[in-house]
Amino acid sequence: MPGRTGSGTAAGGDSRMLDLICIGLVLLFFALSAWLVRGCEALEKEED
Amino acid sequence: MTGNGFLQLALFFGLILLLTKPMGSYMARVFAGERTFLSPVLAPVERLLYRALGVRPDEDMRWTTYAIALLAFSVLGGLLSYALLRLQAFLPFNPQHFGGRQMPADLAFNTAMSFTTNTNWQNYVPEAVVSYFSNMVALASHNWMSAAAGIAVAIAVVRGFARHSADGLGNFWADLVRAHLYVLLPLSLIAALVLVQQGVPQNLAPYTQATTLEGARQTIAQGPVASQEAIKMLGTNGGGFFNANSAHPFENPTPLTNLLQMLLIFIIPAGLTYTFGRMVGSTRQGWAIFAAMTIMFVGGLSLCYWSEAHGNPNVAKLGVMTQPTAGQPGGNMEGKEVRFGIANSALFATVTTDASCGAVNSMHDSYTPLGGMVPLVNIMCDETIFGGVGAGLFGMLMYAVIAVFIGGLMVGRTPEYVGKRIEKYEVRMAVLAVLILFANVMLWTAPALNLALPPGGTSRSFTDAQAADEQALLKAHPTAAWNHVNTSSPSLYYGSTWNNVNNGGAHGLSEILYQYVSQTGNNGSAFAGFTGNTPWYNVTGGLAMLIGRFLMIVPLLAMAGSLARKKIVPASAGTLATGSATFAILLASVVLIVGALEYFPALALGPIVEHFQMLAGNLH
Repeated sequence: MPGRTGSGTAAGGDSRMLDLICIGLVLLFFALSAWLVRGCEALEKEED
Repeated sequence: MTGNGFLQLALFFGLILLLTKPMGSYMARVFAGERTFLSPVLAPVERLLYRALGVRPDEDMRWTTYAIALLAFSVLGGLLSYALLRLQAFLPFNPQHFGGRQMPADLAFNTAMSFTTNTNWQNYVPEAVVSYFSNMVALASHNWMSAAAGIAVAIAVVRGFARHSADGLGNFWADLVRAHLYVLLPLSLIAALVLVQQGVPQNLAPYTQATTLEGARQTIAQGPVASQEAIKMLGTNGGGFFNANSAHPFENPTPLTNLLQMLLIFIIPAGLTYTFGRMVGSTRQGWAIFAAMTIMFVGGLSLCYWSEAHGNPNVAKLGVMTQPTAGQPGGNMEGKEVRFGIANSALFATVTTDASCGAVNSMHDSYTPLGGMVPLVNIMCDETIFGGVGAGLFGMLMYAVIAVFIGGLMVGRTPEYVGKRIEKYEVRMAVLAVLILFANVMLWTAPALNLALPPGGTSRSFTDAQAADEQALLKAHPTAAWNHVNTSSPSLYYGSTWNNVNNGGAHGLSEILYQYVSQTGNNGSAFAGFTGNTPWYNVTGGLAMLIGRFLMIVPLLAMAGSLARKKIVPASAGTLATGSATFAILLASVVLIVGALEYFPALALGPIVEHFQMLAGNLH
């Protein structure tokens, strides 16, 4: 993230990359949660 | 420790005890879809909302559907808040002209996830960063939605225990609407009006520019404070309108508002224990859970109050008066409001960390080592001591399943809880939830204690005149930006993530540990003495909050789904009695042993060693 400086240039082009990383992390987390739901469900069926 | 102090503590808990049954009965009726005294006014609104949202409230959801609905709702809400925070410069109600520079991407991520998860951790100074619109729409809206989602999940988990051979856990959308309309809305409306009457501001005016008696210019921040304050407490959110949170006289101006705020934090979590008892058909079961929570609450409060009232013996040796007198409260008053004193500061700290609220009326970083350990341990108990709205109850039910299993093994009784046989799958899910929380704290804390980012062991700062040097550093070491303090001037690069703490040694370790414990527990209170507004801490903290909230809920909903499908078996001579004082003690012990003792090595390196350093005269 070069350019993300406080007294200097602040948010520039690279900030958009960080925006994408943050949004990507949220979506990745949703996928991880959904995977956990599936995993718990599979375990439940196995126990049955 | 004074008689007056004890009287105030007793008054608070007496009021909670009085309110638990009426509040719990009311919520049991609400979530059973029964008529309440508010139905003539709210039922038409409820029906209208169902029609507008296309919700069929009687349509039962399997636990998987319930979980996905919760996750989708929360993730979309989080992304919307993120967008609103990043775009606040282009949105209305922004008289201070705050924009994306004040709210960079990593801080917006941390903040959006923080409010989505009911944590309200704030790595920024709200009155210097967030517009009124962002405050009301992007953040305060989550104070409602995350609280209502927590209540909905708790009710779904309770249905798992209460239902007989059922496939579903209720309807997430209907539970969400009912929690908003019948529980949060009326209570926060009344609370906001009382707060306004007590002097809390409620306006959309620009900040007032005042001239002080010395002739200096002072900016007096204000805004829609009362409305946010009410739901901040009731929803156990905790994110303040002002950086000083409930220590600020505009948020918490009088002794009455202080008492009201603490009551608001506990009223729903305490009431939900009775709701549980009503829904499973035995209020004794609810009171047993209430009793287990009370044991831990009283234990923590006693230690915190005693420790703060005694203060630091090294300060007393310097000749400072630490005994209470008619004119001063004595003890350790560093970081505390004179108007709240020792008793109300210790009580507030205990209540807010028991209940995953995170609002503060004193600075926990300034507490004595043992006094400061109490908030830390409270959160480490996975927010089960009354806990967050909903989160406290479903967390305690997670431990109840483990307690029944352990108790059954110890005395050779059948592992049953409220008529449901506890089997391998339920225990696995409960333990998985506990381990997710523990791993989440440790896996973030450990690297933060010794992650060496450039420029290395010492931090570096650059003035505007040194911009070329700063660019040279970033060109040579791009990763230095990961621990750069957002909007700092001079521009500050901490380097090693250990440098972000204001104290070295054991206390510094506590500051970093507290951060990830608080974020994982969705508490949101800060130990303070720590600068977290850097990309590293913002991003890892945001992830810690997401994992702490939702990856714990998924196994618990799975456990509830499995329980709902089982038959209710009548209690027999071989059944462990779970509606008794003995079970309450067992449950509290299991929470402390399984929950908090996992963290004992970390506590030993932090507040415990710090306590002994203090006794040895090495801590001033």
